[in-house]
Parts: sequence; structure tokens; C-alpha cells
Amino acid sequence: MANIKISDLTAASVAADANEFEINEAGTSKKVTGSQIKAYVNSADGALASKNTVAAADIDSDAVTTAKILDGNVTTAKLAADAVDGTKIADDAIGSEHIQDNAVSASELNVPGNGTAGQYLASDGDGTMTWTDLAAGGGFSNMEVFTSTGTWTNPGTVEKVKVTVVGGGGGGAEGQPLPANGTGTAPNGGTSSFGAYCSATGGYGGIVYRGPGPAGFPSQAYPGAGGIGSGGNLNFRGGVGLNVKFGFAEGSGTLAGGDTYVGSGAVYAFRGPAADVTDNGVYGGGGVMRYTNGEKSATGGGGGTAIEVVTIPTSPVPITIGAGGTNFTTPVAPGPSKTSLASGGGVVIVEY
Amino acid sequence: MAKKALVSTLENSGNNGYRVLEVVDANNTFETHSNLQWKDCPDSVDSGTNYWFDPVNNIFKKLPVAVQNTLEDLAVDAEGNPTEEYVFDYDNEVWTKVQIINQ
Repeated sequence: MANIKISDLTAASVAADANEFEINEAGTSKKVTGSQIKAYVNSADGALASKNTVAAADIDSDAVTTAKILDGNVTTAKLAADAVDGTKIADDAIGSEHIQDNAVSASELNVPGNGTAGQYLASDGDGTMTWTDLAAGGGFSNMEVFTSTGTWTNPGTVEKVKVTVVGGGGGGAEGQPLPANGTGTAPNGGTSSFGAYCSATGGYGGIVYRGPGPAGFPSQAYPGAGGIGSGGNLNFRGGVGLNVKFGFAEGSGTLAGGDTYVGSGAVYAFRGPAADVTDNGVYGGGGVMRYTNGEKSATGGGGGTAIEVVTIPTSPVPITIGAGGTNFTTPVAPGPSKTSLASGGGVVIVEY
Repeated sequence: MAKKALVSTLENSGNNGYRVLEVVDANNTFETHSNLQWKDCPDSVDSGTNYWFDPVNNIFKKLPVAVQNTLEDLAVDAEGNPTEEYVFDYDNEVWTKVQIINQ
């Protein structure tokens, strides 16, 4: 029989169970069918159908795609330590519940260093922050009271101050005796100012007047009105002077100069059988000039008040304090019963 | 020495005018809020008590209290009630005695 190479045979279109194949069994040539070969492969050690698991060796490198993994089946144990980096996390995907309590420290914020004890974080306005010292107390910790003209100087770190400006009190007046048609007018209180920021005018002085009748007590007494504030967030008048007659007994009149927001007017309080109470005005309070029972005395008005919160662009700020108006009295003293209780000069209070 | 008067535009005085707060030498003014204004004034304006500022004519005028009333007693009726009263003329700075007109 002539030798024919396998490569010279005609190629079959497919292998089939009935096809016969040549084999060498222990030196003897024999034939097997396709069915016999298939049965042998399926029953041998390397047959896939007989295996319970796919060993790593059975999978080519980079052969498992996401389509081969069931949804929701990759567990934490399947991830290597430190294997998830920033590129594997979507933007804005980490919520607060995924941050461990007390785990965010200064190094995780856009702020240089750790600061020092007592400092707080202040925004730089550009997304960064800076450790900053907290002003002591968080409220007013300083109060400067000016009762004479001067200057307020910013200590260097103050941005806002609360300013209370009070004008001087008006003087009180009495007129025993006044000439016919005579008038006695006590001076007004002076104006107080905190620079051009705010001002307060002084209280009006009291006025006594005698008509053309017989000489003697003034026929009218006009207490002074209060001054007024200007330029403040709050501006208001000082109190008007008072003259109260309680009875007919000699010496029973009680006089009070007008009060202010922070001060009291001069007072002559008749106390009957008890000792009378007398005092000068303070912080813009109006004055009192009393003669005997005081019913024809005109007390001074209180200084006005302006209260403002000022943002200080520059310093120093000039401060003017209005003087209290002096009391008016007639030059001829009829006796020892005149009592002069001074009005109060103005005041400027700066709080920060 | 020239004088300056501090005028309060917040406080009425006189005849539709403003209150004069104080009068100082021109070099003794001080800073104030803008509602208070320094005005040149004649030396005759000696204090803030007796004058008011007329903003229309930009002049200072006397208050009634600064003008002595030298007129006679007021006439009275049979019951002793006055039939006259004094009225102040702000423009001419004088007191004038006029009849009381009963309504």
C-alpha cells in the first residue's frame, strides 16, 4: 500500500461522531471514532465539565471583565489595603457619614499650621483660612469717659466703637429782684461732639421775667428745654427743667434741672420736716438757682443725647465737651436764702 | 477777632429760623456733625442765648428775651383784665403794644 501523508488527504468540513481516526496503541495501528475521543476527553482529569471550580490557572491574565461579575458582589475583602485611591472616588461623593468622628484635623483643611491654643479660624475670603486671635470677651471691654475736651485714639485693633455724646446742661435762673420789664436768662449748655460723627447740643438756660408792675419777684419763670442729639443712630432731647410747688409753706418748692440719658439735673428737694436734699447736676443735667420757696425760679434743661455705632476709618478723633451753663441770679442778694446748684457739663462715652 | 456762631439746623428759633448754640472766636471752632454749622457773625452777637439765625437772609437777629420792653403798663377793663398785649416784631426787633381782640 502506497504511503499517503495526512497533509495530502482531503479536509473534512467538520469532525463528527461517526468519523474514524487513526491511533497507535502500543505499536499497533488501530482506529477510533469521534464519539470514542469525545468520551475520553470528557472523562479524563483535564475535562472542564468535571471540575467544580475554575482555578486561577484556568483563567487567562486580564480575562475577567466586569460583565463576568454579578452586581453587588465585590466585597471589602476583595479589595487590597490602600488600593482605592482618589481616582476611584467620584467628585462630591463622600458624605459626612463616611468621615470618622474626630478624624478631620487642621492638616485636612486649607489652613497653614495648627495655630495656638485659643485661636479661631477666620476666612481669608478665597477659600483659605488663617488662625486668628479672638478679641477678649467678644463684647465691650473698654469704656472711656471724657468730661473734658480731648482726643480719642484708636489703640490699633478697634474697628467699631459705640459713642454716647451728651451736651452740657442749661443754667438755672432766679430773679429776686428784677427791675420792671426785666429779664434774666441763664446761659445754654455747651455743645459736645465726637468729631464730625455725632454731636449733642446743650440744654436751654432758664428764663425769669418781670412785667411792668411793681418790683419784686419775677412774674414768670420759664424752665429750659432740653438740647438734642445729631448724627447718631439714636438722637433725642434732654429733659426739661421742673419746678414743683407742693404747698403754701415758705420754702416748699422743689426744683430739678432737666435730666439726660446718663446724668441727672441739679436738685433742690424740699423735704418738709426732714432735711432738704440738694445736689449739683452731672453729665449734662440742668442747673438750679433757688430763692426761698423757689416758685419763681427757672431751672435749666438737660443736654441732648446722640448714640451712634461708629466704624472708625482713622484716628485720632477730636472730642469736644460742652460746658454746663452758669446759673443766673440778680446782683442784689436780698438775703441768705439763695441756693445755686450747678448744671453738669457734657460727656462723651466711648465703648469698644 | 472775627467771631463764629454755631447754628443748630435741628432746632427752631425766632421766626422760622434756627437756634444759635454758642459764639466763639473764629480760631476756636471745633468739629461737629453736619446738622450743626459754623457761621460768620458780627461781634454784636455775643452769645447763643439772645440771638437766632435767619437762614433766608443769612443774618443773626435778636430774640425777644434780649429786647427790653420799655412800654407802659397794659390797659385794663373795669374788671381789671388786660385789654392790651405785647407782641414781638421779629423783623424789626421791637415789642409793640396791641389791642387784644376778643373772639
